[in-house]
Amino acid sequence: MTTARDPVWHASRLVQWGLRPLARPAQEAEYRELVERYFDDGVLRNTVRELADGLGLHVLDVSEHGVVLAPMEDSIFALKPADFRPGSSKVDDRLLDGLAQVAIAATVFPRARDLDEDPDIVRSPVTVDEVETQLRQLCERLSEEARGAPDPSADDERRGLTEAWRVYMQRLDSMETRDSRKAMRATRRIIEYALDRLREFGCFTQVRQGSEVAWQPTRRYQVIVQQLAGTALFQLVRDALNGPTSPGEGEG
Amino acid sequence: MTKRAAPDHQQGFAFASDGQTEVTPDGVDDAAEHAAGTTVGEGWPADLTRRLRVLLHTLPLDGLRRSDAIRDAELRHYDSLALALRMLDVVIDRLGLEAEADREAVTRVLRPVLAAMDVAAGVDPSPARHERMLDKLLAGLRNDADARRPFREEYTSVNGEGAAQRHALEFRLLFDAFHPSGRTVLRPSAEACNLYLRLLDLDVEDAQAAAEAVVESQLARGRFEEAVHSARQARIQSVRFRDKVLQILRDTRRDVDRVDWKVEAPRILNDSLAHLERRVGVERGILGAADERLEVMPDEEAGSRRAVAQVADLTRDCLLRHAELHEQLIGARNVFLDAQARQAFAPRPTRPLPHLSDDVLEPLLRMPINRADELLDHGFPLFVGPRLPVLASLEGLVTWMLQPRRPRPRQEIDVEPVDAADLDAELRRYPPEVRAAAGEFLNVEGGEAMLSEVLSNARASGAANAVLEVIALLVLQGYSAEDRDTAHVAAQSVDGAQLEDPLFYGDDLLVRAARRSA
Repeated sequence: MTTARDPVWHASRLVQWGLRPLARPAQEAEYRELVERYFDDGVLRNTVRELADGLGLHVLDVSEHGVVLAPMEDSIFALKPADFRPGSSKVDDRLLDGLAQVAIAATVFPRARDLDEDPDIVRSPVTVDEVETQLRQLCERLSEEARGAPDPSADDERRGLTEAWRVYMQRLDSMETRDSRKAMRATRRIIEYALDRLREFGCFTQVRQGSEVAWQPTRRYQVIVQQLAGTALFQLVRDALNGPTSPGEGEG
Repeated sequence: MTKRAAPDHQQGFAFASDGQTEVTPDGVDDAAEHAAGTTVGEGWPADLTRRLRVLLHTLPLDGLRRSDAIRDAELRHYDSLALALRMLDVVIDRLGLEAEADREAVTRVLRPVLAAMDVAAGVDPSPARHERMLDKLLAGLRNDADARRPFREEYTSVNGEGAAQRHALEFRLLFDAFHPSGRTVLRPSAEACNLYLRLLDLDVEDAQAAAEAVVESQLARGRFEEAVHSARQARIQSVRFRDKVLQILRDTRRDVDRVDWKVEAPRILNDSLAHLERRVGVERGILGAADERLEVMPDEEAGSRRAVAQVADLTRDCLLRHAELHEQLIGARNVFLDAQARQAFAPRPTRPLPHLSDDVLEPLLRMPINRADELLDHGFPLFVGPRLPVLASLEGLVTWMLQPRRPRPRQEIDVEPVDAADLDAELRRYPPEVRAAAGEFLNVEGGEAMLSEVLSNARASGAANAVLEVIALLVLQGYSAEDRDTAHVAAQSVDGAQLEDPLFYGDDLLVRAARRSA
């Protein structure tokens, strides 16, 4: 790597390495050199930050493990739920994909203080069953609570005013009547698909736990959820519950 | 030193007492209460709490030992306490080195120990059983039973007013950590290092000085094997010391608020610098003494020479680490200033931290579909990280369309025949006595014999595998047409004869004494 180049060139090289989720400084000499330089050179750090900001990216972490970036609101790099599953943009599918993401994070970080732990410590792998159980039990509890209440009207359903948990429960019910074995796989498949896509983004690796397939969160995923995603979504939810503030204000 | 509540994994002796989480049993942080010596009462000496806390750290090991008796019958003969200590030994020994210990390394080291325990119990060693036992050990040390959270031990102390108070101490012993290479490695907590090194009451500085003094004295008294052991201990201390300082720098880089840079960190760094200078002096002394010893030692004392050379190597390693550390200490202040500048703009997690299931997932499930969908539309991208927008490239498309078809991968690989003329070089790898022994077995009575007979005779006479290998190589050499004149024996194939030996497989050969011209 030439050191005579402009800091902007070096900064943009570092950002492009950060956009390759599977690259590691330990394996790429240029990446390693840039990360070391990032710590030593204040001008480079400022430039990386400005550059990332202009591109719509948060720089969450820079370490010997690499650069962890996260998209800002409306960034060109933001993967919206509508683009997550090719060929499907139905509200129900989007909703279930989003809920699966939150359920995965909640399974990896079961306690609030887990979010405060050192991201270098490897967290336990999760299985599709664990995530599904978490979601299902929660939905069943909410369903139980709503038992005495009148059923939602057809008009409410049409206008999307019924509760989100009903979507999950409906999906399971409607398919169980046809073929219960397939239905089990279908509900699990939403989560399995989410985990598989997260693997492509360098957030999980697949491991074997005895005869079962499990998903090991990577350091990158831990940083993303701990530093930003967990608290940012919490803020959005809190704002939504507390008043008519528009979502996105609390992010970051 | 650390401001956050739960950095219980932190490494470094200075953190051992304040790097742990102390909570009252109802789960409320109670950091102010835990400091050793603050609970002074008439019936409760000041340092009793500290001693109590030290003792609590051994309970997970005690638990492991107790579980020996209730484990599956086939695993009961293993002494889990001894195995756990050996495991800590491996992990601590490799700490800070490029090749930090992982499951594979631990397995490699513990397998002979497990096999020895098998033999002592009259059981045949079994790799599968060893793996199962290692799983149990790791699970016990990592607290797998509680989802690998820190161990939690409750105890009572008496405060200044004479009132008994319950506390809960949380600590880790061993945990999985991400290594920059992408591997998962096993790391000991500071507490585990203290436990293992039996230095719970000492500062790392003192311990290292003591360890080095022991090396010096052992060298002087000619107790070389012990000196190697002590030098190894001194190196472990050196690794811990280095990690302590690097942890401060890492924490600062990660989150400048985690480290107290007003008072505590500068004090530790200054102390470290002074300590380092003292240690480097002592280590140079040891190295000089070891080198002098080596010069005057007679060659006959090969064992002692090896031990002293090992002491010198270990000490050189300590010196190298300390030299690197010295460099980092000199630049430490800049790390703080840089980190402060860098982190001023970093997005900060909102406090208090949410319980993701109760505070995020459940409210989302309760929301009307439209609202939840809208929120997830904003929140979803944060969980997956940035995706790469794809730009179309006409040039790339044309190149792709014009590229020739890829050749189909070859299904078979030709096997190159072994050139028997190269066997001489192969033979020279064996010591002369082994070659001579093999030659003896090939002086077959009656002029000729089958290779399988020669091999089985040699094996019956107690020949080592190396001798059997040389026999096979010599016969192969005799089989090669080019070497007929120089070979020890002549060999030819016999139709349909198969050689089935534990070491070799193939066509059996008829061996006869060679008509050697020289």
